[in-house]
Amino acid sequence: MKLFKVVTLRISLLAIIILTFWSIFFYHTIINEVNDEVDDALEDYAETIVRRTVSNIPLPSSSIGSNNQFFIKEVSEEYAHSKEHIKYEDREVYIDEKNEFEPARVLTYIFNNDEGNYFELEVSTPHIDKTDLKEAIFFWIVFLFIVLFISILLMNLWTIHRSTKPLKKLLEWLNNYRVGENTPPLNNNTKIYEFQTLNNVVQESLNRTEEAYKQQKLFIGNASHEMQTPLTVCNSRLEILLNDPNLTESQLEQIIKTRQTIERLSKMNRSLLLLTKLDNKQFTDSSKISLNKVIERILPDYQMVYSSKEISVTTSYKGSFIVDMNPSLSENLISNMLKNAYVHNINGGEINIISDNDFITFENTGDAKPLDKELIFKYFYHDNTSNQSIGLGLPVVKSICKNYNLDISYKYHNGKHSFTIKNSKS
Amino acid sequence: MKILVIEDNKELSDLIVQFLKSEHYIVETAYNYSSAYDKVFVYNYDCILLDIMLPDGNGLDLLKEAINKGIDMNVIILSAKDSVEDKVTGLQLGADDYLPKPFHLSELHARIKSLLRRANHQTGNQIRISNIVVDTDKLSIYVDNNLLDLSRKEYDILLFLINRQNHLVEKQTLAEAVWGDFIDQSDKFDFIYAQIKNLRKKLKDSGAQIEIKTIYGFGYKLITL
Repeated sequence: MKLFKVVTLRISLLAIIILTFWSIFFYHTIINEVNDEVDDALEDYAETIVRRTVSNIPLPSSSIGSNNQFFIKEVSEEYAHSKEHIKYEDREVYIDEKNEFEPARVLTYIFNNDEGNYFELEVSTPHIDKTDLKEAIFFWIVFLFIVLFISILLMNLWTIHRSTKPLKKLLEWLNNYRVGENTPPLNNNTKIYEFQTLNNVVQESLNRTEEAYKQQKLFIGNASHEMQTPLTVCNSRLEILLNDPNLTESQLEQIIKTRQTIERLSKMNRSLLLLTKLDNKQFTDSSKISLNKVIERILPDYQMVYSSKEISVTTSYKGSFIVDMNPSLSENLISNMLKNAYVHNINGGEINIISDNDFITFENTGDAKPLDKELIFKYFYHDNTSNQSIGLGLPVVKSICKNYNLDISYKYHNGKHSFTIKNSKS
Repeated sequence: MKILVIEDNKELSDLIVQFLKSEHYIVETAYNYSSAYDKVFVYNYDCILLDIMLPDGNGLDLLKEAINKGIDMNVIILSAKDSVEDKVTGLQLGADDYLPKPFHLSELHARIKSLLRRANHQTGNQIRISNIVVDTDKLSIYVDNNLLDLSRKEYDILLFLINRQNHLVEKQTLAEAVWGDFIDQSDKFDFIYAQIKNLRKKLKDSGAQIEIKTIYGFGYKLITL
């Protein structure tokens, strides 16, 4: 839910509650005020009549076109004592002149004259129709609410839009931010303290991440680098040992196996160094290279090496995918793709290479289940079946692609694993 | 033949020395820039093995200094960096070869031999071994002056073995050198066997005085008869 919606809804809800209480309060205040005035008038009226009654002055005709009415009757002393002497009430009163009932304010007044006779006087005057008033108040409150709601909406649209501009900018910047890539500096000046703090906190945290990332890259680079000499030492010792003519077959086997393991380690090391160099963008020289030609050059060696697997390879070049790339990296790229297609293949399987002007696809048969699209490009990921891969081939491919604005995607289609390299859209 | 090994890792330096001595070279060592500097500009060496990263300086500076002094040295750079820039700078500064670590001693030896051959200019780019001559410019091999008809892979294999004669060359090493380093240990090496078989037949038919021996199932060794 957007901030704008949340704020508008909350303010509106508050407005409803406040308006409801306010309208109740307003209604009661108005009614009290009106009653007060009406009661005063009724009292005056009643007093006039009482005075006239007591002084035996003739009473006025019941109403003088003002819809005011009075009734007076003599009551017993007990009745008089059992009732309040002054009582105000709201009641429907029949108005003779109009022939209809109307809401009225009624004052009942009990008094006695000098002779000790008790009288009950009832004076009434038409009064505000409370239902009408309630309806009117309700209507105007609803109207007010609608007006308020629209105002809130417009105010929020403006204020939230205006005041969250720095936030939007920060979010957009964060969204484009990639660790280890040159991101333009966040230029987000704002007067709002919270956003200033947010900007600072985000930048500080990213700086720390960036620093950690650099350290990690440096570490991998340095570690692989520092391993080169000890690896050479190990290998050289074994090589010297290997030339001893007195070695038995089993000793020879042990030495050679150890050497192969060291060889594996050096390969891994070389790949890590390559990845570090790719990350640091240390490959500067590039030239236009047709990947088809690279394939044509390398493929025969692969066919010879993996001849025992009896894999049939078909190439269909509809066009030539030209990339602007460091030549040794282009070989590395194609070599890794071909190796991937051969190593994870089945005996008697097939490899199809399809290329056009804007893409190149490597398809191969293999395990009849799709691979995890995310994991296959991660460092040191291997499926359980093949223990011969170091698990750095595809990460290297991905890194090379990234360096040259290429995209590599994987899909499992018609029982074949298919990798496509094409130009990035952006 | 006198070789100077400039390498700060004493262990590796000792191993290189031990290996080269067994190949009958005269070997001297320098473990840092200053002692290397003293030796290089005082004595003459047929070949210098130069590590770039030294504790008290950069090996490349030694090359610059040699250019300034107008001294011509035969230098093979040994580098842990394996970076294209280092290689290019090194070669531009007059180094003759560049060998990234980790390397095989036999590879180092082959490079030294090749460098010395080029430096001496005695035989051009030719390698002689018993009644065989390899012309590395023309990529051809002659037995008693008769051209041996070899495929490119057969030529590469034979040259690799000739450069490492009397040493065991493992199948894996051979495969990586000739086909490419994409080859894994678990791969079957039938393809090498087929090539070696053809090669042996051709050598025998032409009367070559060398033989490719199989060392148990592990690899091959080229020996003169």
